[in-house]
Amino acid sequence: MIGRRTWTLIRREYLQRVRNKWFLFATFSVPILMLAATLLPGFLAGRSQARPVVLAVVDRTHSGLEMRLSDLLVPDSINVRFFQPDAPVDDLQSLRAALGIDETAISLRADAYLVFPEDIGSGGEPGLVEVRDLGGRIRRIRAATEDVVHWYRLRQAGLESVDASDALAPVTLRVQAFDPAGTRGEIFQVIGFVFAMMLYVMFIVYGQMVARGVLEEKTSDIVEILVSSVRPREMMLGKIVGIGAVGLTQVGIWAVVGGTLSRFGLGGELGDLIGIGMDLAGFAFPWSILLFGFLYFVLGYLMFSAMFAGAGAMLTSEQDIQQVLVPVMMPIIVPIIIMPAVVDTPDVMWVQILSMIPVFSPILMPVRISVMSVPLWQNLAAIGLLVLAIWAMAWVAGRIYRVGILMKGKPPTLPQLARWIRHG
Amino acid sequence: MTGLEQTDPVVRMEGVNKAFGANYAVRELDFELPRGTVCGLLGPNGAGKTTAIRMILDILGPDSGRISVFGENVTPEVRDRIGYLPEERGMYQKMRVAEHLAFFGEIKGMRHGDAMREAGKWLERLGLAERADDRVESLSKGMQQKVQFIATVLHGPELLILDEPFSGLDPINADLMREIVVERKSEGATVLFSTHMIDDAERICDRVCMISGARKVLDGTLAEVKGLSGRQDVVIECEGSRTFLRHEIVESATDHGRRIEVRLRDGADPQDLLRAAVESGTRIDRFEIADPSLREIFLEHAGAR
Repeated sequence: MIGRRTWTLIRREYLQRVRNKWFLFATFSVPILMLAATLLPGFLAGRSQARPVVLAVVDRTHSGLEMRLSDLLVPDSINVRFFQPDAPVDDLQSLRAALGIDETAISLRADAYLVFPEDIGSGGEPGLVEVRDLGGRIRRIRAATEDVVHWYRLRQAGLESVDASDALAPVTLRVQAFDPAGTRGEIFQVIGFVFAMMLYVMFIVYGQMVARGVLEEKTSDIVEILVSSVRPREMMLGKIVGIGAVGLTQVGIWAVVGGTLSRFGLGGELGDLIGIGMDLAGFAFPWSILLFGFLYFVLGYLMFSAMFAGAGAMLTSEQDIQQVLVPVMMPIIVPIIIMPAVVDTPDVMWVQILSMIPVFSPILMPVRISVMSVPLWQNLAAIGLLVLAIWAMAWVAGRIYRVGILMKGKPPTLPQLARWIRHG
Repeated sequence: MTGLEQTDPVVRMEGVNKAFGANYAVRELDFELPRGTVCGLLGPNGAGKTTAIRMILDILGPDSGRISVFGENVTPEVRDRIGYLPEERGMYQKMRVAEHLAFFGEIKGMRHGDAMREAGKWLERLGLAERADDRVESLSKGMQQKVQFIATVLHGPELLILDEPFSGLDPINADLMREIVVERKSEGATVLFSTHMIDDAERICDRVCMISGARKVLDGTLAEVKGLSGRQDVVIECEGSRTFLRHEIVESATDHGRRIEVRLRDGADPQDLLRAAVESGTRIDRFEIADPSLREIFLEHAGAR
C-alpha cells in the first residue's frame, strides 16, 4: 500500500524534523522540566536539612514537653534545648520582649524560640518566634508541636496510656458510589482529564505541523517538482505518516522518561505536582486505558491530520492560515469545552452519542474509558465509525489537496471547495 | 522501451483541450516530439506553454484528447524517465545539498546509494563538491540554480522537460545549462523546453512548436518553420549592371548602392537569380540567402492574435 516513493517522502519528513534542534529542545525540555519540578523541592529541602537547627523551648507547664518534642524532631536534625528566661514569659509578645534583653537567650544562639503557655491544656496556644528563616522545616515543627499539645491534653484528661499520635491519626472517608455503570474513583476523573488535554494538545500541535508543512512546500514552490514525480495522494500520505512518526517518537520518549520516573517511586511527588493530593505511588495504571488511549490517539491523528493537510493545501500565504485552520480545529476544541460534564456524567445519553461521533470520539472516548467502564459495543462502534470517517476524510482531503496544491491566491469559498471535491 | 520504435515520437498529444473555467489554456493541440531532438516550445506569456507541459507530466489531466509519452500513458514508471525543471523552482532550504539531490533522485526511483554517488559526481563536475554537506540556504542564488539542474538530470532521464530554463540565470549558468542540454541530446535524450526568449530557441533547437492564445500556430523543424513563412530574402553585393534584377522571380529589390536586398516570389529558387547574375557579367562579391529570423516569424504569428 505504501510504495517506495512514499517511503522516501516519509523518511525525509521524519529525519528533517527529528534532526531539527527545536524538536530536540521540545522533546527533552518537557521531561526535564517535569523532573525538575518533581525533584527540586525535595532536593532543596534536603539541602537545608543538612544544617542542624536549634529550637529553644519555653515550657510553662513544666511537664517535659521539650523532651517529647525533641524525640519527634531529631530525625529532621532539629535540636531542641530547654530555655528558662529570666522574665516570666507566658505568650508570644512577652517572649519577643524577653528575647531582646535576656542574656541567656543570646547565649543559646537558637534559630527559633517556641513557647508553650501554662493554659495550653485548656485552649491556650503555643507561639513561635523565628530568629532565622526555618524554610520548609517550619512544617515539621508545626506538626510536632500539634502532636505534643494533643498528647498533653489527652494526658490531662486522664488518658495516660493512649498514644496521642495513634488516637489522632487522620481519618479518611472512603467514598464509593453504588453505580451499576461502574464509574471509577476520583483519581480516574483526573486521569481522564489529563488524557483529554494531552490528546487535545497533540492533535492541534501535530495537525498544525502538517498544515504548515504543506503550506511551506507550496510557498517555496517545491510542490511543482514533487507532483511531477509523486502523486498528490502519496505526498499527503508522506506528510501525515512522517509527522505522525515524529509525534510517536516524542510521545515514546516522554513515556520512557515518565515510566522511569515512576519506577523510582516518584509517583507521590507527581501526584503532589498535579495537585490532586492523592498518592499515585502504589497505583497500578490499567493497561486497557493506555491501550485504547493509544489507539484513539493514532486514529484521531490520522483523521485530524488529513483535515489539516487539506486545509494547508487551500492556503497560499501565512496570512490566511487562521481563517482556514479555525474551522478545522473546532471539532477538537468542542470536546474540551464539554469535558467537565463528560467527566461528571459519562453515561448520560448525549455524552454516549457524542463519544461515538467520529470527529469527537478521539478525545471523548478515552475520557469515558478512563472514568467508567464503557460497554464494548460502544467502543467498537466508535472505532468502526472512526475508521470509516478516516477513509472518507482521506478521500475528500486528497481531492482538495490535489487541486489546492497547485492553486494560488485566496483560499477557496465553500462553493469552490465543493467543486474541487467533485472534480479533484 | 518495449513496443517503442526508434522512429516513434517520444511525446504525442492528440486533440488535447484544457480549460480553466471559461478560458481555454490549450485548445485542440496536436503535437509530436521525435526522439533525440531538442524542441523549443515558444509563445508569449500566458499562451498555454506551462499548461501543455503540466499535462505531458500528468500533473494536470486534459479535459479531452490523448497524451502518451514513450508510447504509453503517463504512469509513475514513465515519469521516472523524465527530468522536469519547472519554471518556479523551489528547494528545501534546510536540507543539505547532497541529501537534497539524493531525495530528488529517490523520488524518481533511484536507490539511495546510487543517488548519492551520482549527486557527488555532478557536484564535482559543477564545482560544488565542497558544498555537498552545506545547507541549501547557505548557497548563493547561482549555486542553487546549479543544484536545481543537477536535480533535474541526476537520474539520467531520457526526456528532459524544461520550463523557461534560462529565465533568471546569470550568463555563465545559462551557458552551462545549454551545454548540459546539448550533451544530454548527444547521449540520446530528447529535450523539450519552453521559452519566450527566441534567441535561445534559435541557438539550440532542432524543432520549434509555437503556441499563441491557447492554439498551436507553428510546428516543425527550424528549416520547415522558416520555409513555411513563404518568404525568401537574398542579399547581394555586386559591381556592374543591375539588369539581372528584372528577372521574373524577383518581387522587389532595394538598392542601397553596393548592397541590394531582394525579396523573391513565393516558391522561387534563389539559384536561378544567381545564375542570371553571373550570366549578366556582373562581378558578384556576396550572394546570401537570408532566412527570416525566428524572431520575425514569432512576432508575425504572436501579433496576428
